[in-house]
Amino acid sequence: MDTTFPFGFPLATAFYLTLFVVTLVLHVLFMNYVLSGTAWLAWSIVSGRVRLGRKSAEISKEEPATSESILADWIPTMLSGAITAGVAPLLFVQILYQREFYTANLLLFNRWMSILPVLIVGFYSLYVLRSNWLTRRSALVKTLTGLLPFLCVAFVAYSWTENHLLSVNSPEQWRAFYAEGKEIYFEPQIIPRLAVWALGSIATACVWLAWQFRYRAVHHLPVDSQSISRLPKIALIGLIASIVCGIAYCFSAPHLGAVFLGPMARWYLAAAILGMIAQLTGWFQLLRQIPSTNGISLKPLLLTTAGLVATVLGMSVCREAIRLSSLGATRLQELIPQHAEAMKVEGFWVFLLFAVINIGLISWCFWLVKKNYIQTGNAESAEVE
Amino acid sequence: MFNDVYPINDFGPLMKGLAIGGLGIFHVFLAQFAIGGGFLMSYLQWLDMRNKSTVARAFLDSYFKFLVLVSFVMGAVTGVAMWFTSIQVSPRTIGLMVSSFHWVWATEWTFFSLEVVSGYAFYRYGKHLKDRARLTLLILYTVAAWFSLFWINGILSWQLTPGEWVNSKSVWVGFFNAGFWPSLLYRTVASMSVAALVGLVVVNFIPKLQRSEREQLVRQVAVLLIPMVLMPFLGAWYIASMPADSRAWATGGSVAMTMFFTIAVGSSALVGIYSLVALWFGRLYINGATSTLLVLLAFGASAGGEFVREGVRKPFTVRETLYSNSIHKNEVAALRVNGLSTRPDEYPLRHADRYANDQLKQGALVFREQCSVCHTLGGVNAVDELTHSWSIEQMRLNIAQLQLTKPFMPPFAGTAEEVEAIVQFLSWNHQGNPDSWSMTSTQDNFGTILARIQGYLDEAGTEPADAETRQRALQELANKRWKGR
Repeated sequence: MDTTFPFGFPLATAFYLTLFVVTLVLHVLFMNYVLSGTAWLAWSIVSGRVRLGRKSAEISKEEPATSESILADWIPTMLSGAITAGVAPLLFVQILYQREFYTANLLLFNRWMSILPVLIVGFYSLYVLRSNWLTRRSALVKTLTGLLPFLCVAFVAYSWTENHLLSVNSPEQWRAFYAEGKEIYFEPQIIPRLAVWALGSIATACVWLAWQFRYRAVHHLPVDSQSISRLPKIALIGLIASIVCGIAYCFSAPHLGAVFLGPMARWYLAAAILGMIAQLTGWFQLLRQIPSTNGISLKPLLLTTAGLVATVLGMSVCREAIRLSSLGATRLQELIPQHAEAMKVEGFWVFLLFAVINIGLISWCFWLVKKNYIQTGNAESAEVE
Repeated sequence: MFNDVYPINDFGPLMKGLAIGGLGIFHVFLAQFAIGGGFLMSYLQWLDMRNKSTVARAFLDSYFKFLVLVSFVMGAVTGVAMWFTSIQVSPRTIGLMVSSFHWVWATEWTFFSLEVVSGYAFYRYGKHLKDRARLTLLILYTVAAWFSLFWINGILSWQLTPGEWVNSKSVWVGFFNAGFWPSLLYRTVASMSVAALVGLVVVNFIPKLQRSEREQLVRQVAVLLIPMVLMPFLGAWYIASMPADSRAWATGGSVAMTMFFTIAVGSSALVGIYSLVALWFGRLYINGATSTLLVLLAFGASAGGEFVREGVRKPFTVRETLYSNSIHKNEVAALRVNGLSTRPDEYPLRHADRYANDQLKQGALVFREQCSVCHTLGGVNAVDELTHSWSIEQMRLNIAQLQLTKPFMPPFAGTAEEVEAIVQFLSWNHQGNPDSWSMTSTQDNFGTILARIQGYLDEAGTEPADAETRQRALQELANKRWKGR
């Protein structure tokens, strides 16, 4: 714990920590799109800025794609991506912090038993948003249906944060929580902590959307110029709000500053800040360029993307540093032999072999679609009856 | 890992096993449909490319594709939920499974990712792709989905037949266990059958098809039901791979398991006979109502089969390693000496003021730790019902010698004092929880009671009661009694 993450740990602990953080970053990139995207859609529907039903959600060759139509079209896929990408960090967290993770799950059992129905409702309500059925319903039903995906995703996000914070408590605190029969865990840092991630997710969604707009423009598919010009503004608001919440978060729990500036996390905090600066620079460049070029230039978009990855990676390590410091050196000494024991388990080379093969096959899937696509009307839409 | 003590939740009249059982059955059925759906879609795409079907493509691009999407998304979500539910029921079991097979799980994740990407690629873009690309995506999807089954099947079958893993702890010895191949092949055939049956329902609900087109599709979809002829052989192979005592539960030893086993076999037989005799040899048409009935029968077969698979592991969750109540087999002897309620990091009893005395509190604690995974007090599988006709002395004997009383129960893992505590706790419950209850621990003859219970415990030993052990224990008991005379 006295040098840069993960080098201060024995090999096994460092290895599983690295795998956890890398797979978590992948999950966060998908999750942020879903979290912000559902909030964005909910706001658009509630404020009446978007028409519901199949036609509005489909992206056709004739109609210009708006942010909302792209989001409505892609969120179900991205939610599947988030769930799929979430399996790996869920696996490695059970190797790294088994007692902590399981205990928090058991103490908040009602939350985890609700996540399955909530996720299913959230997922399929996204398809309801695109159905003709909804267009014939009352304004109240439309509003509630518009809010539903976001509420479901927000519930999962809140539960996850609550679970994480409870998991880093001491066994004495767990026993007290259990004895009192509590079902909700709260501490003041939950709100600012959740706000940092939630508001930070806006910038992630904007980067994804910018690439989606750019892809369409490159393939001469119509895009809504207003949506494009709004994108940098929304991203900048999200980034600045996230920075403000980050500062509030640091003040909400005084030990955080010491952890962030400590030897384990300081370089990652620097990477996260540099990433923020790169994102701000990239978005400001796009803000200036878009009115004249009416499109999204590659260089600032690449800068923004690189900044985003640096920020998410840096903040993920900072998050892990907080957990490790909260658990304390004594508990860590107990965990280290368990990680070493786990590393003795056979199967890593089989995993690596199939990981390489399957990454290759996944890439091949993208190539197959790109090479074998037959241009017909109504190009990208996935139809839902 | 086995030093960790976890909080135990109480779901009132609901048995915890019901949650995982219900979700597990739902998950297995969906996942099998997703796998079989891949086989069916690949086959129909191939027929279309060979000009052997005029309607296969329409079927693929309309309804069936969407159904597979539903099943594999629901399958994914319920699969993750299985982890969370397993933690609720037995954190030690899922912890052991994850620790022992995490690379197998990680490997499965890479196939699952391929399944999701290829599935979505076909779902979103399949309509606009060239035929060869469509078939390639479908084959990738099918292979990835089947390999997901391959990896998970190894872990699930290991729970019942870990074989030499118990000594060697070798992942591959545990993974390719005695039940691996029969279970994998059986599930593969079951997946194809489920997909074909759902396909037959869908054929009847596509509005624009002519009768002749429906007949053509029924013929083509029903091809995937042919491998059902292998089911009796694969099923028999799987049953033969089980340990003898587990097999005995399903074939008469336990009423509930025999009943579910009969439901599984009977439903599968009905579906198989109808499919082969009527659909294949008789070349009959099948309407929506009949095909829906067959799907329900297949669901019944899956539910029965999964119940039996979970049930025949008793008294273990991982055979020869971890008991159903999450107590490790090697812990029992030490717990007989030191007791459960003296473990460090013990979670306190909730609502302790409800109990009339300290002995009842200890009894409640023993119930929570040893019984509450499978039993409730007054709800599903209630100990109240199971023990209310027993006398006090009978309870002492039966609980101390739990594995001999009912061989699918684990041995009691506690001291004589804890046996007496749970006996008093159950009696107090039988009497409707009166406000005052005298403690036997303060009575003059308490030492005699404990000595008697200790005798029962020693007679039963700390091993589980497989058929051989049970026979040996009973023989020793008879010998001791004979000598005593």
